Amino acid sequence: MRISRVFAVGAGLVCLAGVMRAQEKVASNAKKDMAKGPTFTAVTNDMLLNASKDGKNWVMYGRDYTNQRWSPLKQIHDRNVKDLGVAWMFQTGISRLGSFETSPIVVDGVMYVTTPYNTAMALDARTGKQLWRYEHKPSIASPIYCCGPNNRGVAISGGTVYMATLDARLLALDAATGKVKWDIEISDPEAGYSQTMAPLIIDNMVVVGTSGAEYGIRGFVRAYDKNDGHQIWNFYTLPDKGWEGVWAERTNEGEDLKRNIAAEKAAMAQYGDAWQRGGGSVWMTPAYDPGSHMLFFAVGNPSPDLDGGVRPGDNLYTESVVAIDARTGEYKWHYQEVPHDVWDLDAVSPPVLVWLKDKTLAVAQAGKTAWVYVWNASTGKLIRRSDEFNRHEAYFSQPTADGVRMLPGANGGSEWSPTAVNPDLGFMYVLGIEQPMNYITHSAPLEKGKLWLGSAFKAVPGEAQYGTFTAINLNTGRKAWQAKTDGPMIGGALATAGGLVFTGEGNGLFKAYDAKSGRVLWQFQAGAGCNAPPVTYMLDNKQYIAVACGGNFQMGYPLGDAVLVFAVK
Amino acid sequence: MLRASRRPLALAGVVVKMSRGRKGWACLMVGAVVTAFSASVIAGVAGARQEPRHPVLWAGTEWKSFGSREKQAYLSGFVAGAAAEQALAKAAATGGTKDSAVPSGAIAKLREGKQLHFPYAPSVYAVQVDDYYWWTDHLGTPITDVMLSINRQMLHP
Repeated sequence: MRISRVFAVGAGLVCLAGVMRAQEKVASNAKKDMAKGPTFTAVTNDMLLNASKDGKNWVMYGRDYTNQRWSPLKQIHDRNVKDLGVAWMFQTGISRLGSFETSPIVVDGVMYVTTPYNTAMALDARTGKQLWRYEHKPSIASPIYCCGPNNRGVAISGGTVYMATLDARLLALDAATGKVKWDIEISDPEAGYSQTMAPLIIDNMVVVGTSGAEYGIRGFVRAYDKNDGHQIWNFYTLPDKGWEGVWAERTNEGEDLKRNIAAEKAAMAQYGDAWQRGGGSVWMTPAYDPGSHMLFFAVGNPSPDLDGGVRPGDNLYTESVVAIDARTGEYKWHYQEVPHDVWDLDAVSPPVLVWLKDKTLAVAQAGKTAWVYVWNASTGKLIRRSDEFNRHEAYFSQPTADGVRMLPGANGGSEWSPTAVNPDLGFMYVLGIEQPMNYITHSAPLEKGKLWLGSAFKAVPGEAQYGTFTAINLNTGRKAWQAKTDGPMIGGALATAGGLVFTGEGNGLFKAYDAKSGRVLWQFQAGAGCNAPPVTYMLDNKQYIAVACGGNFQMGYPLGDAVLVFAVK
Repeated sequence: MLRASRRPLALAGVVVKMSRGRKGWACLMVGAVVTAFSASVIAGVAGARQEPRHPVLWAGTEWKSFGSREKQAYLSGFVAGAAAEQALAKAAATGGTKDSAVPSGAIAKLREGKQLHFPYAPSVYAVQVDDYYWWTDHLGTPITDVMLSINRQMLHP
């Protein structure tokens, strides 16, 4: 007994010494790494395919192909999150500010971020030191785009970083230097095409969708060879046949759309070719299932946005989540949330792949309609639609000359903000907007100082606007909890195995919530709106949380240019 | 609400035919638009004010009477006319011509070189003009003035 105790103590000391040596080694290596800077790792397809198991990095927009924005990291948890403090901050110093929507990519100590107007940069993820910077010079004098000069991030593969630009180009940059390897035009920027999404790498392809539906484009998703940029396939989000759909009088879930189908059918003779300029932007990065090779993306509004008279029919595949074969671009299924939309209630927030309790692989998406839709990933059949996460009032009312008040308004519901999922709880975390709007058919004199978000929808003066952050149980569709925020929510969420969910607000607050209860456990005032999706990574055995806090112009939130990185003090 | 049905126009063909014409391009292009417009549109505008205004004076009232195809046609003519005018001015400035001998492909070269003064597609301009005339107190501004103004704003935001 005594011998064993001595042995145990001795073994314990040996272990302790071993642990201390290991920690010293880590610390020593970290110091060396800090001195010499990080090395640039070539990202392999295996790294991308196994991103969900990667305990250190954040290698693609949604962290892995599911788009769940869920990290297995748990060093920061519900008990120590109160000790979270700023590890470093980087101010991009760009000359023109705009909504700062980037989702950083982090690979072995190197962080890649983008800014409004397409500046890309690599930073040392330990210190925030800039390693290189690429400032894009647009190919035309002034690219035209909707909703701000936004960029949502890069994709990475091998030693190459890919960025899509406002002037509708796709760039391949050397990951170690930022030098341009190749640069192609995706579509004509002078015809209104622009790019804001972070591309997605699948095997040898870079997949990217287009924006521009506000200017009469024909939307698409395209795959390019990641080595030289030649196009591999194209999928138009507006088919040349069957664009009119089934002339749905109701949504798939039964709400009356109050359409004049007879008048629309009569207009087909004149506007039967409307699909050629019918809109259908793909704003956000798709989800991908490597098992079935299916790619899932959300398609935005038809064009023109609010005048349904010149685009009769259901306007497929606008306002839909669409599944295609990622190898060929071949159509598999679609589900339209709002047929023949005239309220700008497009599908924007990126779809997410989730395993439900009954082992069904499902696709879930938070709509501007303020419901979360859950579909069978193989068939597109609706499994359930969630409780409303924002109130519905006078929904799907046709606009009138005096204006009809509707809730949610044209910003949603959930805007482009990516959701996060805690797969253990089965919860999806959704950013929501409570912003009643008047939809008006007649023109009006200019009223200065009033918030106008387009020709015919207008925030209702004097009515309170606020935001919501909601946990939806994907297995039941019920609200698990909901937090109310000062302003409408736009940006994105991050969920971690530490039992936490992170998200930011337009008032500059960056918050950590208890994933199960929705209790706020920590917050930090960043000074500018934290309206971008946060990420997390591990370096030298230390977990970091990173978020861009540079505001949002669409919501009038204070602008800035800071990337903030937090760690436990 | 649905717009009244109007006959489709084929303005693109008119623009192509006009592209090797004589001086006064912009006016000719706008004139082509006038010619191409259906009688019902003109009659509608004229009916409202006895005599139709000259197309270069058309303003928000006329714009609001156009369907999407007419808007597209008007702006296609405007953009093509402006490009032709620019090519002619460039040729004259380089001493090559004073009149119609604009080298074939000159406009295409301007476009390829990203040098057009009105570089965007008509559909892009149409959205901006629509937005401008949403405000009832803007209706009296001629479309040409609106185009000059919004083009300047778009190029130098």
